Amino acid sequence: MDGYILKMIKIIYQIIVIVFLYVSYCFGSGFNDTVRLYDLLNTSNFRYADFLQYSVNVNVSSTDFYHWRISINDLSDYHENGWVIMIDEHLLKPLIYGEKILNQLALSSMLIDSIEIIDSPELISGNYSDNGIIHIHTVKPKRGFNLYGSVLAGNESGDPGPYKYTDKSSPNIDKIGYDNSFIIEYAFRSGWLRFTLFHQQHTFTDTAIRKRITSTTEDWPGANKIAGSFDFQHYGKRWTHSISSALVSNQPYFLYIDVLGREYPMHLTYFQWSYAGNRRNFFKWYVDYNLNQIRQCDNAIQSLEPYDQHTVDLRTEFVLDNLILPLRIGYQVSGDAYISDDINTSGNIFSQSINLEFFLNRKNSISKLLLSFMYFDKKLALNISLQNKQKIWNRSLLFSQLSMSQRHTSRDQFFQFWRGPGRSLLSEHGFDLPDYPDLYTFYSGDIGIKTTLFSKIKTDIRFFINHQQEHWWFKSLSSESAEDLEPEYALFKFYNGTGAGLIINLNHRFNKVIHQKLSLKIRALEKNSADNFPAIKLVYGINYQPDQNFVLFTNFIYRSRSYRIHYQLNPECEGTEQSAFVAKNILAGGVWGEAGFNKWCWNRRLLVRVAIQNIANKQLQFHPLGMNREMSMIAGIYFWLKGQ
Amino acid sequence: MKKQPVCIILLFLLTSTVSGSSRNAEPFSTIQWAIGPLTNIIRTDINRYWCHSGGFAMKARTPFYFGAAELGVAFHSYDEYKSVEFTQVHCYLAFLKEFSILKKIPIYLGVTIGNSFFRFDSEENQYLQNESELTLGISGGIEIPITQKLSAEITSYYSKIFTFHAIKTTNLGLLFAYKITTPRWMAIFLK
Repeated sequence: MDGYILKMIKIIYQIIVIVFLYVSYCFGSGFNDTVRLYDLLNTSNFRYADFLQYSVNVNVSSTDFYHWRISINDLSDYHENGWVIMIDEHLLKPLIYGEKILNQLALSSMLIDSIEIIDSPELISGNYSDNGIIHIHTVKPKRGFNLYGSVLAGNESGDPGPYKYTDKSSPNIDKIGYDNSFIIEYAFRSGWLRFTLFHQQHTFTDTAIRKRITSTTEDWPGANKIAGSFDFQHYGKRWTHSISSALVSNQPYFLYIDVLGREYPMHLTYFQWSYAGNRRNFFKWYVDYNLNQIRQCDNAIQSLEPYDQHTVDLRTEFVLDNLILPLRIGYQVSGDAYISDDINTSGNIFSQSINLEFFLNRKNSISKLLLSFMYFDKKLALNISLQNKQKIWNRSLLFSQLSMSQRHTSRDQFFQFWRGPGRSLLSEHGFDLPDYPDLYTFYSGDIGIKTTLFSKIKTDIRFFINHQQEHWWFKSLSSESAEDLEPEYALFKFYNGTGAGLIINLNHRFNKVIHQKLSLKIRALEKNSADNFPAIKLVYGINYQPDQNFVLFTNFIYRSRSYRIHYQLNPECEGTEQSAFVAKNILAGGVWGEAGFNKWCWNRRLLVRVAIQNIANKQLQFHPLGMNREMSMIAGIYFWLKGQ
Repeated sequence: MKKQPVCIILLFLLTSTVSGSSRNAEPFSTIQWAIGPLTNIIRTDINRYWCHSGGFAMKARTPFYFGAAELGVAFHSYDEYKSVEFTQVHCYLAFLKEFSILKKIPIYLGVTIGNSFFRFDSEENQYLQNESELTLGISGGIEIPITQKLSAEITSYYSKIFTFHAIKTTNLGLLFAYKITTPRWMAIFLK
């Protein structure tokens, strides 16, 4: 009888999902989350990638508060799950062992005009992304010569201080690190040139990770990133040309590998060169080359395999705007190859896609149909998205989107690295994977409204739903808490789940000096997944600006409890044998609070930032094996020769 | 206990911002320089190991958007314990509110945010001879005018240094202050 009731509940639930998807179909597309430089400055965030913590559209996790794993679409954050990074339409692919690393760009926070987080399928510059885009727009230089730079430092509390010479001695928890940048640019009538130099240091001295890290290297446990970039843009009457290039070196960079349960040091070199051309916004073409070079560090005790990864993307886009119903046609060829002594990708490295955007209506509402056909390894994957935006009442906008995306697992960078083609590192580490389907499908739908309440509160409310399938492998213990039991490696899972939820954004300006923002995401998730992000995430911020040159801010982020299947070394065991692992899966919820101020001086040429993070000094982790950020102080100075 | 200084700072900033519009002086219109000796007045856990052997403070105060802002540095030296003596340099920024309880004798009360740098005089590992740590505190003082520009100030600081075992110190100082009209170039810079 109980089984019958459960079955009925499941059927009713599925009917609700189908009805919702149908209702979504009748309306249009979502709103993107756009973050501007001033939003970045009015937080305690230290680096541009840190800002993702403040977006409810993105789920993040990290073991070290440096390498952020990102999920824009509620998929597992560990997989390369479809989201892409673009800077001014250039496609960037900084990857380590198949994982995208957002913080390895040669980009200073000072260069950011805005960061657009697109969480629905979108066609941008010939590239179709089914699972989200982080599109960074850089500032356009002012005419003439300009020079700017910044010096930022973070210091985490919890050092022993003088007590280290007493019976109360405790381990040294070092600084968070530095971020220094120097930019020189020259803008002329028809274009500009820009050189950037960047130095970043991040220390891994927190007690939660220090022991693991120091056992793999004799180097000081801190990442040192040195980067340089060159950008050039030329505007003609008919033609626009843009070149972006960057070289990044980070040594030692520590990457936590979930399947192996620990960090590994490496010397990472990332090189990127992109060219974009545009003729009267009718014909656009792009060339993107990315090289990820992983080498062993000189002082490493344990390392993973070194390799070079080359990726090439050729994109074109035609915009037929003069038709009754405009049309955009994109074509993309992508290739990537891993090259090393042991790993050689042979064949199956090129994929092609034809991407189309049909506008169905542009008068009373904007309706569009996005289609993408991806051909890879003699198989075709289809992506369809129907989006609509419609004005209702006076100041309100109703939007909805419905999409279906198919993806080739074997084209996934993460799978390619670990599974092949060529050598399978997973097999070598004792992970035997069964055969699995190469094509899986993701369905998503959104419906929402953007309006103004009480003439002062800008509001957008959105319901979302998605249905997804994904493949996943991980270590599993036969018992969650038994320290003495041998781990049992159940490695491959196929997940099939439905998630739904609500996102609310409120933006309220009390008066000229006080401004507050609230974002809330509630997820009701029925998902048989390895990871579970917080069901509730709430971000609240309030700014007090008595003068245009002074801002006092405070922000709070609430994250509810979440769950991950990961393992921790038993501190009583010396080695890293399997029996030394202890399961630790629950991440407690909590509030992250911060407060600080920004003071502009010298006709807005100089900005002084001071902030305190984690003001309640509570335990805050993004990963069960990861570090806890204690109360910390962030301070920095920015300089613009021509003012900001 | 750990949250107390933070709560006090937030409460102070909240009350300051609410009453911020009723400021008396134009922001950055004057600068008051002050210097004088400091002494440790309450024994805490750190004094079980080291004794405060003296200190002095230098600071500059200016009217701000709400109340006054103060930039200061305080030096403290501590006597030897197990062949280790150390110097603490506390650099801070303070937001202060002025209260005039007695006529012409202003009282200041506010919060400080800063960093304490420790320099240890020890023959141990050279790399670990310096350390720095977040320091929050409360500051208060009475200003007694001597001439129109010169005044004496009795100041008290309560600071909490966020080391693993927090260090709490309370200091009392007698400072001599001299007020000037902010030079134009400096006013432009600060604004």
